[in-house]
Amino acid sequence: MSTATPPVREHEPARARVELIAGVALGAIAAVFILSAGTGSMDWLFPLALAWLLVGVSVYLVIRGLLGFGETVPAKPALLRGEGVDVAIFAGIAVIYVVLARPVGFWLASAAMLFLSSIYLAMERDRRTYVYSAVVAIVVCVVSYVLLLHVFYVPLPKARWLPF
Amino acid sequence: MIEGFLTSIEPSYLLFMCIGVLGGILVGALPGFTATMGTALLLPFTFNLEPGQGLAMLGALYVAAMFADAVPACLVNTPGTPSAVATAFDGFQMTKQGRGQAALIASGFSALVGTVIGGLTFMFLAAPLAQIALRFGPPEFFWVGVFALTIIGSIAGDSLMKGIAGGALGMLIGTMGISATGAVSRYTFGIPELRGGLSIVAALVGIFALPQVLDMVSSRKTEYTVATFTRKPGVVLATVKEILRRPVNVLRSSIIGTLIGILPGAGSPVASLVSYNEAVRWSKDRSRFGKGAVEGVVASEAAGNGAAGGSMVPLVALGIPGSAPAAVILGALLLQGLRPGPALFTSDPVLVYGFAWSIILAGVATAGFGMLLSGALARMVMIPVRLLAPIILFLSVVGSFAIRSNIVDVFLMLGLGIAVYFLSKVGFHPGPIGLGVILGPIVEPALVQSMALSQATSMTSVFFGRPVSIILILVTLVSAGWVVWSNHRERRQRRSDVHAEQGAAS
Repeated sequence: MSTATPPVREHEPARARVELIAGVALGAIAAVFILSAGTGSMDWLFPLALAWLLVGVSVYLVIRGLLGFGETVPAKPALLRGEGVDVAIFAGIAVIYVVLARPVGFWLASAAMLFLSSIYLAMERDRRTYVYSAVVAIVVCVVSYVLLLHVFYVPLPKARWLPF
Repeated sequence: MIEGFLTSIEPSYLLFMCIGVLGGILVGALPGFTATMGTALLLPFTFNLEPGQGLAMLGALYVAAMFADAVPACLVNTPGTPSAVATAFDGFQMTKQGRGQAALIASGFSALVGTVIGGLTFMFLAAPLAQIALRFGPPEFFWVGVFALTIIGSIAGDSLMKGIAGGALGMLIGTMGISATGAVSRYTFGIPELRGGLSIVAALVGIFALPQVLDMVSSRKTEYTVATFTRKPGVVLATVKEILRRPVNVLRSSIIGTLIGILPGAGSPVASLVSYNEAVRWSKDRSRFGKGAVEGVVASEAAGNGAAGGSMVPLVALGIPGSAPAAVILGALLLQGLRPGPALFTSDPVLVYGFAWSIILAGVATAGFGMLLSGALARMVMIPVRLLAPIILFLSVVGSFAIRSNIVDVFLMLGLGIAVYFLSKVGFHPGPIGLGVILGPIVEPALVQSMALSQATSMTSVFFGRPVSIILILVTLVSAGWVVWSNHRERRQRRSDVHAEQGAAS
């Protein structure tokens, strides 16, 4: 007599309702705007009306989510699942780039951002990738320098820490 | 009029017009750089020119920038100026389907039609239309804004409620800074730079460009480029034929754009959004919009360029600029010692009609350059994501900073971009948020001023008692009612399709 092994029940990751997440996010945004509002009927009438409209839609979405309407997504955030790592790193690069534009100057920060992020985003990294990324970063910066400073006269941030 | 035409085709006039067109294409194609900036930069060069030559150059730049803003909108979903927001809805989808060049050709051809209609209106109907535009007070502008908001129904995606919330959020973001009525600091969070208000351009770059870049980054392992480009012989003719199969769309959009352009303060962003909404409303198959319908690109671009011509009507006939670039052109007229107004048509008809002809010719030149360059520009989508994403980030930072030389605008752009990226993952379309940012600064002052007016009379008479307001309310009700009805019809159709499939399966 053969004994059949019971099927292994795969652990299904918990899922959350999109409507619920959207409703909570909207509610949080509305709360920031309502709590930061001042007094004075005419000046705050319009923003407060909009913020309370957001609260209304937020409640509607939360109720829909609780009732089981709409799509579901994994409850664990994409970053913790490893799927959002690229987005988080690129967003981080963008923030660091803008923060560094003042101390090290716009052009140096731009060249570094263009070079490093294109290397990070490359699927294969070899000598050619590095050379190509460096050439693109330099060409973009040089062309933009001529165009922005000598055609459009855009005063871009100058370095505070460096002499250029 | 004929003398004006003959003047406008003099070689020196054509040369300055071409300089304006090329400058406009450059300015419009760079995200964050606006036609206002371009005309302001060219203004000092007009001092030593004849008035007509200077006007031809500035007018041409304005017209060309209104077309060229479609280039980044279609290719990388980044509107070059606020007027191209609606162009991006379908233009970028066309690019993703490998029809980027067709999208650019459609933009160029529609811009031509819009410019010609706007220019002809300026030439023949300037005086009477300018008088009608003067009847628009705060209540009418409020209703124009409310009417434009009904576009949310067309661009909200799957959820109308999320679209409404997105529009409200956009308008709420737009209230940052010192209020126009009581000079109260709102939502500045202790940052002095925010008192000057939100830079609409920086906000739109953040709302549209950055989420797109983050999307590119997240799918870089499966999608090496944004889209593919294959050279298709005869694409120019095929696209023009496709547009001309529905001539009403391009004509209606051009007329809407021209009429809204005449209203001082409304401008081409409102024109292109209203026109897009009408294109969706009049279409037999609205489900195609937002998924690469060429009519969407046509509607937005024809209206944007129609508005450029339309904005010259109050400028020359009354001395009231209909848009920001028109204000710079007004400056050029005043610097040349000319006083805009009805008398200008009789005192210097060659200049006025020559200017109108220059705008029309600039439309022709812009369309020509646009179609000629469309193939080369469309190849931009073949740049690998690993290079394109950082370059768009670089241009977004430059564009956000360039308007006011304010680093806070850049941080705001980044913050909004990251926030909108996450909101888009839970079903909020960036379109309504961008729409709110554009319309908020039009709707709020009009609402507050109307309420102040109503203190002298009554709320009912101010908001509902004026003939133009009544027409706008009726149009708004029809538009909103149509959205609700068509959504209901689509849901019913989907349900019956599901029942039919289930019936066939059993």
